[in-house]
Amino acid sequence: MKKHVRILEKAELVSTEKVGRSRTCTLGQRDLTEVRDWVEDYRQALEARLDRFGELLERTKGEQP
Amino acid sequence: MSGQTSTNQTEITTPADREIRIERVFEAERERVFDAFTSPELVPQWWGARDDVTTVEEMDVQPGGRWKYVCSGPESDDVFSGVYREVTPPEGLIYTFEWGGMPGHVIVEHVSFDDLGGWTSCSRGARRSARTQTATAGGAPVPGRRRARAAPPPRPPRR
Repeated sequence: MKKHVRILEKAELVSTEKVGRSRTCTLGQRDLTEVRDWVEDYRQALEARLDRFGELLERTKGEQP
Repeated sequence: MSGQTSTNQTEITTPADREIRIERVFEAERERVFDAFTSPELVPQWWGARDDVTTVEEMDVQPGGRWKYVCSGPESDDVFSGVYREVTPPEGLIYTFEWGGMPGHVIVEHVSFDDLGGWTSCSRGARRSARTQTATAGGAPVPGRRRARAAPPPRPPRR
């Protein structure tokens, strides 16, 4: 468990504070919108590329392969 | 947009830990879809982003045959290459895929085309097996051990 938390801490997704024998976690500095934006960027790029594929199929309609 | 020719609904799933699958349905017969995917004359018309210019340098669509595209965008040239493993017209094909920016990181793509009667469902799945050796002709990528502290990979181009 400790190991997992340390990874999250290193990634700045959580920060922890040790009080006595227990450690409390709070959400860290880095928020997940960065990750969400990154994924969303790729999803849009992918859609655009598949749109191009669809447009090609539309243009070549009626042609025999 | 190509509203009439496709459902415009791409489904992205992750069926396994290192696998991503992309599916979309197009209004076109399966043979035409296969042709658009495997013809050197047609690939430059859809590969990459709209402003990119894609050149097919190699495209030997048969098991063991190589493919290599150079995609020139406003900022950089990107090379994509691999080896065909299975070619089954018009059902689909399997090939290795490597981006020049991350040499040695080979993924295996499974592309299948399902006939829906005038419409075709295209499914493209990419599976990555940890760190792999450079693609050799038809050779299976060698599964490597996942490194505990791998450096973050460089950002792949958006295409």
